[in-house]
Amino acid sequence: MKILKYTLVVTAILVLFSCEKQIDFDLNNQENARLVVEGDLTDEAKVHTVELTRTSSYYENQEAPRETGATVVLYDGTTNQNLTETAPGIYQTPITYAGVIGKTYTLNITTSDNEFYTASSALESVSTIDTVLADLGLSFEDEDALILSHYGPEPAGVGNNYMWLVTINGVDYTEDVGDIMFVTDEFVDGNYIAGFEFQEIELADLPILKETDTLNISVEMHSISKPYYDFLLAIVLETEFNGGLFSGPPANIPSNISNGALGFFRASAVSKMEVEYVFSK
Amino acid sequence: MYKRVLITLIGCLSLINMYSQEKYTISGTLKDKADGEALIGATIYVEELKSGTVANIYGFYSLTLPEGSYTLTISYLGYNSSTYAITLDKDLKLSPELESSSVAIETFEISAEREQENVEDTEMSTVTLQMANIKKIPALFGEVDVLKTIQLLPGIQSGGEGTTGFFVRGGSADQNLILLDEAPVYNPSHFLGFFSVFNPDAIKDLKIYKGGIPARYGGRLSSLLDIHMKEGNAKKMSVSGGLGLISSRLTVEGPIKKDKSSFIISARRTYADMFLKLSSDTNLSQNQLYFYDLNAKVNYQINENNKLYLSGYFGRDVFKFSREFAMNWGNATGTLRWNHLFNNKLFSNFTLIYSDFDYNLGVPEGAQAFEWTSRIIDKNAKADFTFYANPKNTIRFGAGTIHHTFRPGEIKALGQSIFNDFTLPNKFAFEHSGYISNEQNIGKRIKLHYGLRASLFQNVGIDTSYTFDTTNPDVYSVEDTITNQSGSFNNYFNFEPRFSVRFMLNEKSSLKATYNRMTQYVHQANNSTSSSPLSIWFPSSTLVKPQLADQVAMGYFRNFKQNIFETSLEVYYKKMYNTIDFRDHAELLLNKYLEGELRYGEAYSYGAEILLKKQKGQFTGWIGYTYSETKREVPEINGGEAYFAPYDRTHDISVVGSYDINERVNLGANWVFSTGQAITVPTGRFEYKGNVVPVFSDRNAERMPAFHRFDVSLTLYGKKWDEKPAKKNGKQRWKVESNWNFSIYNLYKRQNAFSIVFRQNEDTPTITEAHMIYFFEIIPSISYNFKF
Repeated sequence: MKILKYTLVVTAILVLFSCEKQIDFDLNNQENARLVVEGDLTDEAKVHTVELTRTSSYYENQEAPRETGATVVLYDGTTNQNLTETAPGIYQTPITYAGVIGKTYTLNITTSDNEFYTASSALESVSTIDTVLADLGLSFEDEDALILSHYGPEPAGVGNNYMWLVTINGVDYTEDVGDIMFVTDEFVDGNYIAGFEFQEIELADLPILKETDTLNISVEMHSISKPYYDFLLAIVLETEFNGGLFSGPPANIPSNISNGALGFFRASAVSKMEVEYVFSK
Repeated sequence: MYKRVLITLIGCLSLINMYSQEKYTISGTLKDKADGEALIGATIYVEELKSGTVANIYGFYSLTLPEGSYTLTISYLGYNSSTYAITLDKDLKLSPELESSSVAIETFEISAEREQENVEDTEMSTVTLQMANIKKIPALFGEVDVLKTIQLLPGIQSGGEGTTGFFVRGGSADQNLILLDEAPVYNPSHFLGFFSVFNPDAIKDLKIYKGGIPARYGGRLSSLLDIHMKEGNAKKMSVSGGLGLISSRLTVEGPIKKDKSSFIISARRTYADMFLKLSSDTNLSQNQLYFYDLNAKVNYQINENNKLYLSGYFGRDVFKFSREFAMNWGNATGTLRWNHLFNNKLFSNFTLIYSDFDYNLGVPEGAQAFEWTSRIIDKNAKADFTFYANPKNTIRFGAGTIHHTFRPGEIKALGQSIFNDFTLPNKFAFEHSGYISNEQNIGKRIKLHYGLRASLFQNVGIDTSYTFDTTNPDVYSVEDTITNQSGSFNNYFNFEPRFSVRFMLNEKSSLKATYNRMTQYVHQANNSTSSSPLSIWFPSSTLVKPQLADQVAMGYFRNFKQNIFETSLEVYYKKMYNTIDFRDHAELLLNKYLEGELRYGEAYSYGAEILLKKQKGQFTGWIGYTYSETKREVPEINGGEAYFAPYDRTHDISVVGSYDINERVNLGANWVFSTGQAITVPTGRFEYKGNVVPVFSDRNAERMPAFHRFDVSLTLYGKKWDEKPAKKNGKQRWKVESNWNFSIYNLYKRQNAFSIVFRQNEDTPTITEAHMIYFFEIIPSISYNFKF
């Protein structure tokens, strides 16, 4: 929930005082290369990707080792769909493959060392976007920013969770988990959502403005499960907001993959909205 | 077990000897000659009996002795003692006023034998600090702070650089009972924990109990911090105040009716936001950021046997960020006390207490406008009696009840907001208690203090409780929901025995031992070591069992050089049951399933504390050293293995010194050292989307670098008014006392880690590195204080 963010404002004040510097801190490397899964499936007909990597020691400072030669299968309760390894560690469905709302999907992975991993996720419906309002405003850090607000219904009954992905002029602005807005409907359940600010992009981060006056903004609203919400929240807590004055003790990110693997397999329904923003100087 | 304790207690009480000789009582109230403040803990020593008594927190004492002639010496640290020869052939009143001895250089004579209270009393694990002494210790931003001062004592750890949170003998911050004129203060800090709510100008003194907590106190496991507000000058009007970098203070006090009634009003406000207003940045200048405190107290002596006190505190923090976000929080407390003397041996005190902590924050305008409030309210009534039976026995008994109201969280949508109203159910509870204790001398060597407290906790009112399926430690699901009707639907009853013994080895040294059991029925949901204003308190319930602690401590106390030096060595072991920790990434705010986020376990702490203290002379100060270990064991955390509490410090050293160079110049310095905080560090990492995420192994298995820091201060006192010549026109000068205080915090610029985080390099995301966050490299400050 966005309210979480407001509680973090309080800590932001301390930036006035605090200093930060890089230090050398010796760590034992006990990490024994566990499998990491990043699997996304939506109800759109497109190439869906499952990416397999391994954990490494903390100071490895290289891209994660890729897991090649695995057998990756999506099971929708009746049929199996094999995924093809198109690049090292990248396993993909055919372009015609689409998830179906209401089905529960299971991802089965057998790695080349013959270890078996599995995860499942229910594909739940998503509410519609009536419109997205794009406007200039102030960001959280008080800088000029493009603010995107969501307008649309929210179905009655607590338990719907959403996240918004944003692409502007072909550039993905929600690559990092920390840039993604994800919410539960706990405090807005059943309301018509008239203006929920789900994304702010500081103008400095929109270099394209210098060349053109028009932004083509593409917004996807995804339904997500509560475990995935918790997973995203944990990542944000451990990467963006760690070490704060009020943060709790560090803890491992939960996972929905069996056999000690990390990461997440999620199935989502998607609502899309394309808007144009004409930037007037 | 309880039965045996009771029988022992009754047995001890029956030991009270009955003399056949005629006996009379001498009693009275001890006060400061200059301003009429009660002298808490002043001693009355009977030369002939080599024993005596101590004035209570109202300055009252009572001694019942056989008929005869006695020499009484009344003394108090920092005051001239006085000796009285009395003939006790009827009940007597003796209420002398003591004169403060000049703090500066003097050839001090140690006249009073009773200045070795620390050796002779049964009390151990306690320290009393006078505000005057606290003010000489160098302070961050020059803001004198009682909570940071007590962190300099052995056995008391700080939550982190510059913060007021404190941890006593392995107990968590919510296990400290902080009383301001007997009213509990639920959030003792301002500005996210960097300043405490106690305005130094309104405080008289404080006493911290790390163990051996007397039976008349209860409700928290680990410590009692008993803070007393000044009563107000009963002799003459006086105005005092100060200007500092962070805040200004003003105090007005004086008699309402001379020697009958007096008042004090003290205020403090910070002005950091005043500087923000000067900023040309309009966004910044609209911000607000300040806190204030208001203390007020009046007392009225109805007659010799009745006195009323009314005291109150009100303080708030206010943050406002342009039109976007606003937040404020604060405490309010009120205490009404009636001291009544039934006769010269039975002292009583009836008290009504109110305490309230609340916060609210929100967005005032727009589609996402909301207001979020949370609150806890305590209403407390109690009666305490002290029966000064004879010089060998002082019996205390009493009873009280607290009504707790918890409003853990409420969200109100404002205007055309997208939010719904949302309310976490309120909770109500009663906490009843009763106690009896006796302080008993047995012969010359042994003194006992034993007592029993009984406490009953009741959840009342309409409440909803949940049971959780916690078979999987990472998640929980709500299994059952029960809505309780009004009335008390859940009760906890506990006996809390307390016992202390002192054995004099010789005139100058003693051995002491103490045992106490404590229970705690209200708990704080706070997952960090900082005192967050947003944390909430919640009651014990059908699911949340009361926390229990057993502590044993032993100590050796010895004074040297006519009590100029006090030394002590104490060892303790404390075991805590049903302690509360939280599941990973717990959501503690606005969560109606808060109880599902809790994980229960046990904790233990043991340690040794050495204190060497010099209380008199040009040079005063102390050296404290603590060796300790504190671990928790919670089945669902760290794979069930015991782990260090975040505030575990193996070694902790404080050196505090104050030197009066002459009457007008004082130098202060302190140095602290402690083992680094126990932290959890990553052993590996994985990638998910654009993030490199750490993988952790054992909780709190590594340490931050050691913490150490050196602070200095210089205080220059203005000339005393009576030393200045009269003005040329013959008029008297204004009677102004003033001083300038200069201090430097962290003189040698040690960068002490507040926390260590592991994160991606901003430029090269594949690189992960350790970062240290620290505050206050070196902070010089200046303040001016005056009194007239």
